Amino acid sequence: MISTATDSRTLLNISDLRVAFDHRGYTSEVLHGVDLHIAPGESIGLVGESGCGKSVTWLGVLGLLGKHTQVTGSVKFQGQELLGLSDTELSQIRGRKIAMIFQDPSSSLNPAQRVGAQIAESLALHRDLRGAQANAEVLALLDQVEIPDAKRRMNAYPHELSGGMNQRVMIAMALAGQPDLLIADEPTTALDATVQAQILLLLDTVRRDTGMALVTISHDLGVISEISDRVLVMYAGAIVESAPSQTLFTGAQHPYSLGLLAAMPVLNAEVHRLTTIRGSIPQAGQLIQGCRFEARCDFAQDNCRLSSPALKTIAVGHALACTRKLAA
Amino acid sequence: MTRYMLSRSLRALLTIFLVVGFAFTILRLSGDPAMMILSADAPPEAIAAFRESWGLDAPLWQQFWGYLLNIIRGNFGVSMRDGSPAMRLVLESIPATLALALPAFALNLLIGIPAGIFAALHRNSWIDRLVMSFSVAGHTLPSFVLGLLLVLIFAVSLGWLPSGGYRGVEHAILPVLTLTVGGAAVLARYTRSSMLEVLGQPYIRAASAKGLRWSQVVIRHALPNAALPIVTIAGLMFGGLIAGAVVVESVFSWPGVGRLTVSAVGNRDLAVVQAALLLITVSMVATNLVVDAIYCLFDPRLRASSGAHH
Amino acid sequence: MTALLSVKNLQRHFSVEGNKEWLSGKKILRAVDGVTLSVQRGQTLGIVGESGCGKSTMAKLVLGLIPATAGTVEFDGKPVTAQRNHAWRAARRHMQMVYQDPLSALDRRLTALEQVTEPLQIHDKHGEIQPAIAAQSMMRAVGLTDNLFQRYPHELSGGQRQRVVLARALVLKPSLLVCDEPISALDVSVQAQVINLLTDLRQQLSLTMLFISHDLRVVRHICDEVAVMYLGRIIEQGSAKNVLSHPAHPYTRALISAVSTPGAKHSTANSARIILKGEPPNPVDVPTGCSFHPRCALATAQCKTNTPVTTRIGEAHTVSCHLHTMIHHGSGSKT
Repeated sequence: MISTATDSRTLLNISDLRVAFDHRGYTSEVLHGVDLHIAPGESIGLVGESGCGKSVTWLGVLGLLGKHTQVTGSVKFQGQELLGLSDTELSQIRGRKIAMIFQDPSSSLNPAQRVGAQIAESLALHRDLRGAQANAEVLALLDQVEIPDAKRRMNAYPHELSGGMNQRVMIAMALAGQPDLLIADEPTTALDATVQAQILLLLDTVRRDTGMALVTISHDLGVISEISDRVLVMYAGAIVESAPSQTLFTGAQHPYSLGLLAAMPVLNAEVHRLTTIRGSIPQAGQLIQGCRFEARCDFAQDNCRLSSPALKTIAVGHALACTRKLAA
Repeated sequence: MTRYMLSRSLRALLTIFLVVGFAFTILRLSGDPAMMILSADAPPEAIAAFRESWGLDAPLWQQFWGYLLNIIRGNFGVSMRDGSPAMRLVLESIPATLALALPAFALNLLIGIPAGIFAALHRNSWIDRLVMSFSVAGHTLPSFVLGLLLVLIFAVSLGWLPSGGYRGVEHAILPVLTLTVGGAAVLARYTRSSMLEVLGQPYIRAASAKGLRWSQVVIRHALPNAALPIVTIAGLMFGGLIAGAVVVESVFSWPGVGRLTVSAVGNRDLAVVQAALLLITVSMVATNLVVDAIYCLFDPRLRASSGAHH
Repeated sequence: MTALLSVKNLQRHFSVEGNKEWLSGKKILRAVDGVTLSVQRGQTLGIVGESGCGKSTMAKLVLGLIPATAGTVEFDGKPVTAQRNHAWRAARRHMQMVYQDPLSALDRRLTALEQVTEPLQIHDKHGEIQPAIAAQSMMRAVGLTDNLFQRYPHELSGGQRQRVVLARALVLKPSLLVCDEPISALDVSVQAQVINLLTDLRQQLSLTMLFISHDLRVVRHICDEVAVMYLGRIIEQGSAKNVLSHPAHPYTRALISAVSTPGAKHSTANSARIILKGEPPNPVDVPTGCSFHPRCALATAQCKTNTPVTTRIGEAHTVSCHLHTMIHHGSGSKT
């Protein structure tokens, strides 16, 4: 486990988080012990491909995974243990302390309700604002997320707004509760490129203005590097590397991180054959004794099959789950 | 919205026209009223005279045209049996049908919808399976079988309730019960699937993430969105109750529109059959229109323009 | 040498319902609004743009899946129509399409092998090689192992499904392959595999490709030429290298600037980042003059009223922008 500072400066501390799904008697573990910590106001990025567990981690933290799941480990938010809290207790945390926005903004909003009313619902719930006060605050929030013509737009239905607008509405809704932590799950994946740039800039601005921490989940390394100070790479249910943004992109150590970086086509380089990672992602519940990446790894050694490497700090702020000797 | 309702109304009129025309044709092609009413061994001259006096010897299209003109003037024909105005006979039998249909509809809603919601909220649990088993049973059992079974149990064996007739409240219990079982079963099933579909939508999880308690999520976000398809089904069911009480009324000798229609068909009492069919069709079509209007009013997506934004 | 695919002044308009008022009349959605382009044999043309620009409509028009409102499409010298007659069906073996979502592009009830064999059974029943054998060899060529042949689509991963779609498209050895966002739905590592595969196949089979995508990085990698579309028109076109390294049109510059490069400095520190105002517009309400002017930081009065003409600014590089018309031709303008 990484040496974590359990001082009051840590906003969130996740320790050995495991998630398993029950399906007709079979239990399959999809998250195999996630460790991470977030300082107040920090911006971290969680990157990985489908099935790696990057969304499941946060749904598990917030208790949104549904009935047939087992979530074990420890999640301490501002010193309070979140796992084991009842749904009612957790609903005090959701939206008010920890807010989450999702991938497809247009389907994450109630189609039968005007967007202004949906934002007002958060205001009533978390800040006890109603009526004219709430309306004024809704307008203020819509301005903050840079929605033009806010007075008219607050009476619109989600299907009358574009994807970019709806994502701004979701951000406004999340801000309404004045949370300390915002989790953005693939916030720009469903949006056009130029709109993506706008939304990322908005998220960054809002974070700096309010002082809240930001977790950005994405499969796009580029998006993560735009907005995150620290990057965590996930593979098959565990974090394999964690480093400051610049360090990861120039000095990544884990073979999977290197593979991901090499597999991305870059705009301004000479066209070259992309390096690919052979093999494919293991099945969700598959039991693998050793390192989960071993079958696809060009650097695998014998001991990699025996035990799964733990996440260890190798330099300041840089953690790695791999037994490979570092390049000199 | 106005354009939408206008086109729906035109289609409704067309439906009525087609149904009436179809019934008109079939009735005249499928048996000779003269033979039915006068009896098979009446002398041919009597039969010919009868047919001529009722205009049955004219070509079909001419009869139909004459019929349409009469309708516009408000003349729906007279019963071939006793000469009384056909529409009056039909209208007199409506209260009896409503006495069954309205309580049955209310019970359908009160039993079926909550059962469906409950099943959806506890999906795959034993409650869900129980509700769904009852629903399937209620749905598949034909209403006349159920009616006869109920008569057998409650009227014949236990003697608690009368087996038929139209004299008091206790006579209505079994027929209403028969109608309710089928309707509630269907409604429960549709309610459950509508709720499940809504509960699987991303905005439900987003609403939870906002900090709403589960009960608040269900009431404020799930139910309003699940309601529309349920309203549609319920509305259609109501139309069906008026028309489909035919079987139940026959089993329980209940003097409603259904039983009147059945006996009129058997007697080839053309005008009465047509009047009854016209009424049933109009009521079904009108119910559909009302349901369409409600849907249009409450679904924001239908009210707005299409293709404005993606 | 004549181009394999030649498109001239292609238009495709849809009429859509008017707004909330009753009988406010139909509006016209100009999905494709006068596109001229050509693709030489063996070349790959990329079409890039955001939602509403018309690139998917272009794919369907080129293949004859929908009829054009105006303009012509010529494939191998012969016109392409959308009439589903014998000639149209016969033309299928020369032009094929790869789709964005491989799962919905495959028939759930057929195994992978059956999907790839079917085109052969339709077009080439009595060919020299048995359909099944030819299909298998194509599937191996796209990197599918034998054990996957009998699987159904839902038993395959995203990358494997897309390979099946590719094999099915290529088994008839078409001359033209139209790819509509073929890798957007795939994971990064799988994208790389499919990109490499497409590049290899293109060489082996001398394919001509039309590659439609919103991802400029991939387009740079795969395409020889690129055309940038905005609201149904091509606003910049040329060799991929020229257009993407030296973009001329403000929109192209914004698109390129929006590409996130890992390791680049944060957006807030990167002042070169161009953030466009507003949203990608609706093709129902096309602005007057240059359709990009409402969002362009460099728009002038002329941009609001006059439609820019296509100007050649380099050897393999054209652009439709008033700024360049003036730069290159002074006060006059010519095509």
